[in-house]
Amino acid sequence: MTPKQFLEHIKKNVFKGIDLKPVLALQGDGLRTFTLEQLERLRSTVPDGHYALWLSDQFWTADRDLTMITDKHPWLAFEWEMKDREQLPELNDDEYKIACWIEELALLSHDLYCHEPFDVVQLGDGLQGRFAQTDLYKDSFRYDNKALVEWMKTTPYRHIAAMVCYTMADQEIDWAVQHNQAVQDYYAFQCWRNRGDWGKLEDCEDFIRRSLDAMQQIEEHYAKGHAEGLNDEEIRVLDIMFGFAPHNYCAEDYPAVRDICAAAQKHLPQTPYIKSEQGLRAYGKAVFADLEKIFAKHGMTWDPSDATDLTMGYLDAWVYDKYYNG
Amino acid sequence: MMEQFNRLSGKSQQRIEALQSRADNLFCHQWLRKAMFDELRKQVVHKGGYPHFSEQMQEHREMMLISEYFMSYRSTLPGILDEYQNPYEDEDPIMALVEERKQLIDDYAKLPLSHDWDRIKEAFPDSWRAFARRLDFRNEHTLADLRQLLQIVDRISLITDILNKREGGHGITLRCVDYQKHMQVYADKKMTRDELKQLLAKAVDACREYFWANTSMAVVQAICKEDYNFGDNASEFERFMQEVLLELETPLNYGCPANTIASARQSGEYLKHPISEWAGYCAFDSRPMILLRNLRTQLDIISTENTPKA
Repeated sequence: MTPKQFLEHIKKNVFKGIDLKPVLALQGDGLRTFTLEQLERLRSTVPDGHYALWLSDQFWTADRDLTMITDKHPWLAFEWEMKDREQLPELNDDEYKIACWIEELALLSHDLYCHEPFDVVQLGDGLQGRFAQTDLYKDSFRYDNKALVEWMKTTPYRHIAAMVCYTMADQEIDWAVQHNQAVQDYYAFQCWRNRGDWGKLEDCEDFIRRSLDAMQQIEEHYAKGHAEGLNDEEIRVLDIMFGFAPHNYCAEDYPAVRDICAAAQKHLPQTPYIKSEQGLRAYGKAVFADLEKIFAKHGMTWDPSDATDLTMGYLDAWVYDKYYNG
Repeated sequence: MMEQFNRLSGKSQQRIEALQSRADNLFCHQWLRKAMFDELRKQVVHKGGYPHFSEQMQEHREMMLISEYFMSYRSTLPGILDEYQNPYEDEDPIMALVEERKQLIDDYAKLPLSHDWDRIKEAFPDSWRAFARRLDFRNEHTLADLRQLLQIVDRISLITDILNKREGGHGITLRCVDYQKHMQVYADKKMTRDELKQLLAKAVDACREYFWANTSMAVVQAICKEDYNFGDNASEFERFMQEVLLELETPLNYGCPANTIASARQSGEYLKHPISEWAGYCAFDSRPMILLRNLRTQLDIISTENTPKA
């Protein structure tokens, strides 16, 4: 397809009867609003709002890393870069500007579908990105970014909000996978069940409500733990002992938690140490020998072979983590 | 089901599988009822009647648990009798009960209190007291959560009693064959290559709109390998798939010529991992995941329709 044919192809399928002149006239917040309105329109057209997906499919595959859908693309030089003005002489100035805008819209759609964090400035309402050291956009999508949470609750673009919420929940569950499997499973049960049809407004609202609620519960869970004088590791061990999070805090459990944390710390080899599978096995054996005594001391049941007992499973994961990550 | 559990930790998934496979032993609470009843007899009359205030409930947690347990005991029996007492001639109430129990156990596993409940074991006779002590009735949700747990436990236990024909006075008179032998009929039936070909052809036909290129056959290959023990050989699968596609009345737009699987694996990182890990590499709405979900659903539906009744 030639660049011009490509433009007509896209206009015919997703912008039929839509005046794109505002793209030429608007800028800044005005243009952002127009972009979001268009994306919301595409995402909310039933069934299942796949016009937005269709648009990003014209450019990239469904993989998170941007891969052009065809080797030689009518508009893309490579990955996300539009060809320069001189490389598309077939389009006039206005058409080129509109094409660039369409590509940006498609890129936002692609990022939303792939749950890939992006620059939240695109969502308007004065949102600013938060940049952690390691990754450009991930840090903006954590639950403690209250500005983004507020945006999700109040924005009129509900379908986009649901997809943004998914990306945030995705980042939170990624954190939980590393740091607390009980929280991971809580999120899995609350957020990742019966998603419904996101072309429908009520399914979007349900997902947003339940996911924000779950993330709020975990934030409060950690806040309560800190108020009780527990640190993050002790909270994790308490969650392991219960086998789920969140839960009521009982002071009676804290001595056992502190004993367990002390045992795990005690058997760590002196740093620096070379990490190996044998090292891990020896460490695990030593820690579990102590744990058996601690559990008996505090009147808790101990059956490492019981696959229905999440405590044993979560303990494995924690011991592994402690050995490899200190 | 896949979408429901695809972010659960491996341990949690194992727990659900363990609960399912050991349900007959886990949901048998005669010893617990006896222990609680013995305790009840010792207390004789609880001073002040049933507590209504959370502080009182908190103080008498063990009595709260005993009262709630006995109030829930057999409470789900009328519902089960209504549903299963008079099956139609061609209905299979045993399989329906098994399916219901499977779903109930999945729901049970989601309840936070269920993990504590699992710790109540005959080998530790006071374990039910530990469960009671960990309840916190000052939390306004605890009583409702406890009742929800006990309801579901009651229903699962009743179904387990019925399936295992345990004496329990449940009054169900089903014309039933031995439930374990009945399950064996389904387990023993191994699928021949030809049967798989027919099954797959029907499923592919029903899912034709979800195929997007020849490379989508790699999704089919992953399912055949993991769900039907097909084997890892790519050329063998490609030849098999060509035969499957010939079975279709209306040809599919895509084929599975030689080297399809290898080139699919080159461009799709997710294909190098087991299906249970795909969610980490593909978006929920991506084409491989949509095809995977729909194909698995169709395969389930078609093989259930095809299975002969015992």
